[in-house]
Amino acid sequence: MKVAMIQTIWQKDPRDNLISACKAVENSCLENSVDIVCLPEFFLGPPWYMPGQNSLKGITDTTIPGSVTEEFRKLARKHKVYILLGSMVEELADGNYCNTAILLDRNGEIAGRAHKVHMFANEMVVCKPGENIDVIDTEFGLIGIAVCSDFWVPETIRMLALKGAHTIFIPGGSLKQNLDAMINAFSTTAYLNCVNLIYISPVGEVHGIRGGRQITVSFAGTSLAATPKGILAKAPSDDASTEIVNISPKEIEELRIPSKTDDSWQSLILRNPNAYRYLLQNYADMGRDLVAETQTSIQQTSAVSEAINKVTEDFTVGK
Amino acid sequence: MKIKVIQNQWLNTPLDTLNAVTEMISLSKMTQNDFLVLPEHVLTPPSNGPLDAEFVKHTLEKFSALAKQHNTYLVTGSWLEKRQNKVVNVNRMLDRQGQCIAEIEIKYSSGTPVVGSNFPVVDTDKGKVGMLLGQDFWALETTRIQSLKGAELVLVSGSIQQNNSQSKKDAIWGISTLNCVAIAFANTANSDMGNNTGLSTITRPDQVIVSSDEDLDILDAEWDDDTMSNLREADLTFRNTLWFGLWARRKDLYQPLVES
Repeated sequence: MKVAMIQTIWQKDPRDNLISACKAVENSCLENSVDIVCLPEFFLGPPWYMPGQNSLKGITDTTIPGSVTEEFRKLARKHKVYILLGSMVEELADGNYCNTAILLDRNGEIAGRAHKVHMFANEMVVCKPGENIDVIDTEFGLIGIAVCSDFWVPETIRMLALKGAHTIFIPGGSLKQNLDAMINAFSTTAYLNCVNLIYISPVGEVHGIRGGRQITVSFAGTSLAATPKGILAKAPSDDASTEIVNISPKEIEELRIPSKTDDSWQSLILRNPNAYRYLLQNYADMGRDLVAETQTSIQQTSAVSEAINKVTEDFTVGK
Repeated sequence: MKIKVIQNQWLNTPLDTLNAVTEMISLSKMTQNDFLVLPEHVLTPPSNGPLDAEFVKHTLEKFSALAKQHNTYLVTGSWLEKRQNKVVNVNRMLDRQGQCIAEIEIKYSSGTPVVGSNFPVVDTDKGKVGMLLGQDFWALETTRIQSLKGAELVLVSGSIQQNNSQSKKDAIWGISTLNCVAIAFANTANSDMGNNTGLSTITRPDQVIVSSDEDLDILDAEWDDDTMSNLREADLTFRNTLWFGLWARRKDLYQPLVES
């Protein structure tokens, strides 16, 4: 299975992100005979609910199906390739939003989709979480999709691997402060779940106010591919790039065959599920309501932004 | 919080090894130590079979005296014992008075890795601490459960053998990061009597604090008592995000993980 990992960089004008993503998909198909082309989380640009991005509402989100998916359906059909549109802020018919990844097959049909299940930051208030952690049946066998922060709740990858996924695609956004720990956690996850992992992140930065403070959120690329045996590819942290990797579903099947003498790849088999019931409990020291706190923080941020706008207006008209 | 891990080597007899381990502990600076961790099969390779009951008693008395003398919690490391006609691998945690406060028993099956069903978390004067033995550590769920129960530190009497030893060493830190928990992992050093490879490690979620190669070693680590609780506290500025995986869970979705 030949995979193109397209690490995008957010353009100055977010409207240009779709054009550059399509171009990158087109180029990777023309230059390499690939089976799956993968795009990162938020390849259309920063979502409107990130700090300071309110003006992007209606620009970096989309309906599904819609004009964005239509563009990529044409490309999938033209190049007879799977495309992972992973992920987009999906505007739902009821006015809610979802962080959604879509897998198109070689005919441009939707072969599978995954909604982010574990909400991060403002998504806790703004987005509707996914309710399923399921595998997708493809011509390559069973695969999984986990959207960004879903990776950081290790139950997600574990469940997908236990359900038979040999490869899990993770459109995500690498936070600058965590890179070394993230890379190691990524190879650990591939190793202990005996699974291939493909992680694709954009490069970009947004500035805004969170919790009354001016902040910068930096997405630092570093897209990664790993097999249980180690890291296969690593993209730069500061630029767009396309990484091509060959991964083998068959090798995963072979590694997963039970062995009485070598425990190296047996973490999916050497389990005692009856003893794991505590996984159905919450973290014991969780004594705060993060959704309520995030809601308050968003309200305070809106109030601060309005006050700043008012001062700016007053200053402009010379009051 | 001060932690020590002993990476000892198997000698010709369990008694020789016990004496050497005791000496290693005595020679290391044990002042104000909080946790001392010894490896799985600390005294002799499992292929040598269970220790006799008298020697087990002698060993426990010795470790109990050491815990008391150095005023430290002590994870004894494991050895095989015969209980009700079965051979079991047993690990214990002693408190600062040398009293046993937790025990893990896992059925032993010659040469075949076996997982257990008991992942104790104990209250100590330094907060909640988990203890694990052997193969259980490599099942992702065990450390996860202890972290969910509030353990900020997991003490592992483990083994790393030649196969994929580097991946396993890296995975100690990975498991620590993914569960936002500190880990002190003890393995025996490389020796002619088995294929263990050392690589004992003390790690926090954000970084490996100290790690061994294959030889005899004593690992030391120290950090402020509130370091782990600070890392685990939800930080909605997201300057620290390591807490996220514990707080953002959707417990209703994980039923498949507890089904055979």
